Formats: sequence, structure tokens, C-alpha cells
Amino acid sequence: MNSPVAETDKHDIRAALDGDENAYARLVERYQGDVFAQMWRFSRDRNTVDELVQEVFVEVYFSLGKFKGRAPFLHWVRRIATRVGYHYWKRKARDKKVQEAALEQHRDARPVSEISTPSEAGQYLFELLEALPPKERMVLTLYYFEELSTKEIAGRLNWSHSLVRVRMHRARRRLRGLLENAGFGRDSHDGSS
Amino acid sequence: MTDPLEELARLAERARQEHLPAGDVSGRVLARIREEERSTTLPLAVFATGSVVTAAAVTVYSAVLVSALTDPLSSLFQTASAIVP
Repeated sequence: MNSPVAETDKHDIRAALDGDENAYARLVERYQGDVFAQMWRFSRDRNTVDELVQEVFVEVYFSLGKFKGRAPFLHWVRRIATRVGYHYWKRKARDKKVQEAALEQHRDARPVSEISTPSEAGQYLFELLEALPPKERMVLTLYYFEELSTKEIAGRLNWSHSLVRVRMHRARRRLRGLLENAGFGRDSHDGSS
Repeated sequence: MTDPLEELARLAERARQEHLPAGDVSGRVLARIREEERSTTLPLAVFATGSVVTAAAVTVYSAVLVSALTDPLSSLFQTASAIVP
């Protein structure tokens, strides 16, 4: 039976567990691009993303002994990265002023018809989702940015499938209200699509 | 009027095409790992040393106690030595 873990990963994981720093550095270099892209969905600040990526790989290192090899190594790293990002949002959400500011910013958001570049679209979507509570934001971020199904989201977050469906439903209902305030759906002939 | 969520889905499709930043954190990650390993090793060493010292003291005290309990004449000699200089 073929292992889902690449031979290079297996070799470097074993060596890292034996204390080989260079082996672990190779693992970091191999997957940091993917993790950077993932953490960019948790913060649009470059310094914060840098910190979060480091946090992910430090946590991966100290959890390396628990990696069972039932799925590709990157899948396991992504689960840890999602957890790190989610905890970051929860820490930020404790400061209620942050969420209020996000809602306020959203009220003054420019019409979606003016969004043209992928970077602007990414920024706009990020700010929109920022106005949601962390649990709902998490579900929709994975849905819209990573195109995961509800089942895949449940697996990534270690939540039950039914819980994800309930949170998805609530999140989309709340989001619809925010979108209507921002003028989504009003001018369907704006040529933005 | 279109469904706002459909319009959002189109926006998300554009957002997924965004060119995302990258960097190299390997050096800093290794430095942080070394730092964390150092910070957990020192308290453990202190705790281990303290445990050994405590265990040694308890062992000595226990030996004295056991000796006193098992030797029936020891209390007599202690009393005799108090009376007879």
C-alpha cells in the first residue's frame, strides 16, 4: 500500500526527530510558501503573517512526534496552521473595538463594482469577513478562499460536519445582511463579473 | 437584482487569483525552537535537582525512623544514656 507521505518528507521528518536541524529546515523551506499563502487569509499585515508562519512551524516541530503519516505532510501542517490562525483571530476578537472598527469600515466600503484587481478583491473579501465572529469567519474563509466543502472544513477544524453546516448557514445569513448594506446585488448590470 | 452571495462568490473567485507574498522563515524558526528548548530544559534541571535532594533527605530520615522502630532496645539505651553519663 502506497504511503500518502512523500519519501523526501519521510526522510526529513525522521532525521528532524533525531535532532537534525538541517532536515527540519528543509521541511520548512519546502512548505513555507503554502503556509504563507494560507496565513495571508488570517492577516493582511506582512509582519503579522511572518510571525504567524513562524509560529506554525515551531508548533509543527514540537508536534512532529504525533504525525502518523495517514495523510500527506502538508495536510497535517495546514491543520496546525488553521488552528494557529484561528487562535490569532480569537485573541484579536477579545478586543471588541477591533470588531466594531471592522464593521464601521465595512459600512463605508466602496461599491463592489469598483473592485477590479485580484489583490483588491482579496482585500475587500478579507475586510468583509473580518466583521464576523471568529467561528463564522473561519468557516467562510475556508469556503471562499480555499474552496473547501463543509466536510473538508469539518476535517480541517476537527469540528463535526453538522456543526460546520450550522455555522455556515448562520454565517451566510449574517453575511447577506452585510452585503446588502454594501450594495451587493443592487446593480447587476455593472459589468463587474 | 442578483443574489448578493452569488456576487460574493464571483468576488471570491477573483480574490483566489491574488498573487500572495512569500518569505523565508527557516532561520528564525530554528532559532525560536532552540530558544524554547533552552527555556524548558533549565526549569526541569532545577526541579530534578530539588527532587533528588528532597528524596535523599527523606531516605535518611526514614532510615533513622525504621531503625528506631525495629530495634526494641534503642529507646532503652537512649533513656539509659540520659540517666548515666
